[in-house]
Amino acid sequence: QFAGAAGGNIELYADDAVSSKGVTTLTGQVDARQDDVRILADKMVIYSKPSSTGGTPSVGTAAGDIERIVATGNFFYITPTQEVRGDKGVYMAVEDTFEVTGNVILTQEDSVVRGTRLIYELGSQKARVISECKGRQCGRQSRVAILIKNTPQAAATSS
Amino acid sequence: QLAPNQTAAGTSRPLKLAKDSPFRDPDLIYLEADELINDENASVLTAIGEVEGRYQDRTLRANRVDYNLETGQVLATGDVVLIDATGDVQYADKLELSDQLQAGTAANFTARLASGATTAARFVTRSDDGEFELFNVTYTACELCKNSEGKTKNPTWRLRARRVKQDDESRTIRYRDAVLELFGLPIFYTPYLAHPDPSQDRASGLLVPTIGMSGARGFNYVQPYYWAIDDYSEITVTPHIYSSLNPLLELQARRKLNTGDLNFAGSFTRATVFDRNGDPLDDPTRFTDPNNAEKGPELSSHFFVDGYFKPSSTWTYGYTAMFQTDDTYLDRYGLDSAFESNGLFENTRRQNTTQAFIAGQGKNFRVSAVAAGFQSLNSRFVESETTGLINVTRDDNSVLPIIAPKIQGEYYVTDPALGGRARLFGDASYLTRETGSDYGRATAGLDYSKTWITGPGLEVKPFAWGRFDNYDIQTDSGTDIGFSRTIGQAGVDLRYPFIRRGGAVDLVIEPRALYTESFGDSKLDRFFDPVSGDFLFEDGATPDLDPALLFEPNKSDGFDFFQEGRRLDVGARVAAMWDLRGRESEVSIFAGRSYSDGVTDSFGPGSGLSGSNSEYIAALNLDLGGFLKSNTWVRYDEDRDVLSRIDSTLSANTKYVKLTGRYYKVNAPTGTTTIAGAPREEISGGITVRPFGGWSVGYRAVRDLGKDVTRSQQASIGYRDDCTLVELFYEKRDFDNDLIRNDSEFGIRLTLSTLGSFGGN
Amino acid sequence: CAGFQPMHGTQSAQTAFSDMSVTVSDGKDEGDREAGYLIRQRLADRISAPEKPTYQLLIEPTAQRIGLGLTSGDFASRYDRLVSAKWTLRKSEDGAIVARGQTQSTATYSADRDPYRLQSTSNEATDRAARELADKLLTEVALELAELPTL
Repeated sequence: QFAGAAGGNIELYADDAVSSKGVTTLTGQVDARQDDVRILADKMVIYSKPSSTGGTPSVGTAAGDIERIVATGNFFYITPTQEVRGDKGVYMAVEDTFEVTGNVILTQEDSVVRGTRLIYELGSQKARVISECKGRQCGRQSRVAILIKNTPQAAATSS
Repeated sequence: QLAPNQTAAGTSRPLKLAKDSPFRDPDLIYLEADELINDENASVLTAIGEVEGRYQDRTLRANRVDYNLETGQVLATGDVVLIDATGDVQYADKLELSDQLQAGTAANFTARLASGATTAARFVTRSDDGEFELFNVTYTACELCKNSEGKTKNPTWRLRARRVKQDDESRTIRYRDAVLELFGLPIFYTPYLAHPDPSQDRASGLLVPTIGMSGARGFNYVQPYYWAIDDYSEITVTPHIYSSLNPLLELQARRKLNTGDLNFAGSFTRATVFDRNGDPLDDPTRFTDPNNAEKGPELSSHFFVDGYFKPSSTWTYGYTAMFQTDDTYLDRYGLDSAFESNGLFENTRRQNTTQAFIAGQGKNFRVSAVAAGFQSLNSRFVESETTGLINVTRDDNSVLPIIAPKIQGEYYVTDPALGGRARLFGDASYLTRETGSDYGRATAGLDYSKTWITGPGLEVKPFAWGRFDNYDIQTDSGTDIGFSRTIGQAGVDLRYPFIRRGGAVDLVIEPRALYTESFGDSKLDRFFDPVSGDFLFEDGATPDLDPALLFEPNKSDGFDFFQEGRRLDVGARVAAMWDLRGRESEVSIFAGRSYSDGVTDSFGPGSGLSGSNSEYIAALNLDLGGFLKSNTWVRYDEDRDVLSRIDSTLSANTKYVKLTGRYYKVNAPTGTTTIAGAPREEISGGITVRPFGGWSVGYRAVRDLGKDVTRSQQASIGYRDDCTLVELFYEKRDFDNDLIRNDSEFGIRLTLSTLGSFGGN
Repeated sequence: CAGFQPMHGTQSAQTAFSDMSVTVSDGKDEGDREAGYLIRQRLADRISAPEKPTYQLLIEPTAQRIGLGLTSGDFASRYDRLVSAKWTLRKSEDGAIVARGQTQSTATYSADRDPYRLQSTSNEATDRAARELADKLLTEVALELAELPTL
């Protein structure tokens, strides 16, 4: 899972990157990788504290203390076992959470979960998918829908 | 609370999966919830908030569902509802399901079966071969409804048990320590009870026991066991356990064969003949004639078998065998003696019939052959009012005939020339008796008639028949009477029905006249045994003139008697028909008389046809739209100026009251022989009133008005709702202080739907 | 309408009776079957069926014996022989039900202690009741037909 600043360096690729006073804005097929986690988006803004090492994230590598990342447009969060898709993804270092909003679709092997908001607690590795509307009367579209495809090998190798 | 067998989608049809429905995939589970937590470390998916789960054709609802990805186990908690495809709905606080959403264990679990019955249990486990075991269970088939304060009302009946096991193999539900509650009050406890699983059809198992109390047999407990051997045969074994008598074992069996079915009923026990107070009748001092006393305990049993087969659309054959060790056996044990015999000889009360027959029937022919033997059951133990001692009358079975065989046949053919119908008929009957005469007769004859409708609608039906009889009678006194005769009749039947179609009322007037000329020597004098001085008429008794007999050319009953001379029968019927609130209604009056001339041997004095002119016949039929029906006919004897016969039936059928009545009065002239103890005037019938709700009150009786004695009567009060039928009944019989048949009984019959009936017989 | 006119003269009843087939079902036991046979024979000389009849009359017979005159020895001393028939009249071409009804007739007789004489008297009573039932049934069918629009 994405470990933010503590996870070691993050490789960043994008068409264009602008950075000033600790705010780096990457646009155009942004692709951020850290170990086996990959984040894609149309646009990504990284807010980081000026770290003692003075390094600021730029195309290629990113280091230093990232406080917040806001990625918008065709947002993807891909791990070897799962893939989360949404309109917008926000990483908050303090809460160590990743929040994805805008018809979120989480897929794991053949199982699919769809909701309006997903909160990833990176520490406890718990993902919570929440729907705005509460209760059975909201109808299918606006509730969290879970389709579990219980293929035997998936059960065995869940991470 | 879902209505019984209502599925998640709110329809009451069980869920049918479309052929291409993704849910057919056994590995697919679909959940909808307010929130989902995917805990990867514990690899558990948790759905929270009015979760609705769907697995193949099962639907699950709960506040929270935890799905363990590794073990595949699903735990649903909070207002759990599981709906099976069949519509069975199960409610629980906590329900552990296997990954196929199959109910595993559940806490305070209630299930509403498709049949509407409800089971609730504190804890349920489900073994892997799919059998439920419920603990601390209640089961009822009654609709559970909340009263005004919202508390569920006590159902009319409920079964409460410590442990219940559903046994799929023997398809029964077994209870441990079961208590039956009526309106919430425990009325019956049994350590062990089982009944066929209502969701299974034709399941073997213990039927509901019967408990009763009667003077003769004391307290009795009857426990039938129904065994469905295979799709074609079944046996019900019923032990009867009595507090004051040896137990009795009763068997009923039925086997369906491809051309018909075979029924068997039998029972046996060992006891001395006892009276209605249960005292054995083996004490000689109680009898006027001491050697009438019964001997010590012996085998008492009965054995009935009846087979009726139809191998083709033309032929049927069958047999009946009925036997019991002594005449009053069935009465003493209150066993149901109504045994339907499908043969040519109808079985009557107080008589066992054993017969074998074959019959062939087509559009224009019928032929039948039967052999039969009888056992009469009329022996009686009567306490004489003066001496208080018992007089025993026993029937002499040797008087009863053995019919071996009686063959009948007739064949209709249409005469090409005039288009009339000719009937060839034949009848051969041979009777043998140990005491009494043996009777043999062979008959063959031809019968011809043609119906013309003349111009103005007059119906003219000339007819003629002739017959040859050959008799061979051996009397006890050794005389052998053999003779033959040829007899016949010719005549014409005239009918002129008129109809007037009115706006509201249609009127029909139908005058009718039947002229008959009889010829041939009836040789009635030969039916007489000079040695013993008895008449030997065997086939048919003295006729009894009623509206149906008036227009019969040959009014003698049976083959033997025949009256020579001429006879003119005239009568007319006037009927009015109208619609009463859309239902056919009719009132009709009929009157008629029969005149005879040159008659040789007249019919018996009580026949209404004695003398040259018969008694007058009049009949009134009334049918008011099926609500009220009554048919009455009377016979008026001019010489004695008295109604010699009154015969009336009445039936009323309205929403609240059902009434049937039958009255007759016979005012026979002196010298007519009647059956000993037969009532000259009798009224019988019954009334059932349904005042309100499920309650009904009924009374039936047969009363001999001549002797002012009510022979038998039954009173009953019943309550019926959607799951129960409770009936309190009281029966009393009075046959002139008959020591065995004069008993009275009180019982409760309780039928719990899906559990079978239960109560005193 | 006109005053009395002969029932057999009514155009519809007459033509219908000569254009009707009769089928009699077997009932549930031999007694019903024999009663059905007797009813059919009485109808046979009033109803004739060409090859393709316009009407079909189905008769479902039952014969019952009801005990009366309960004696002190608990057996019946008189009997009612009740013969009844449920009848349905249909059109052949579409099987539509034209009319239906239930007719019954009773013949009473006194019982005899000898079972052979009792059964032969019962059989005579069945024949009488079947004969009367056939006549009643024909009158009812004729009335229903008379109400139909003439063919």
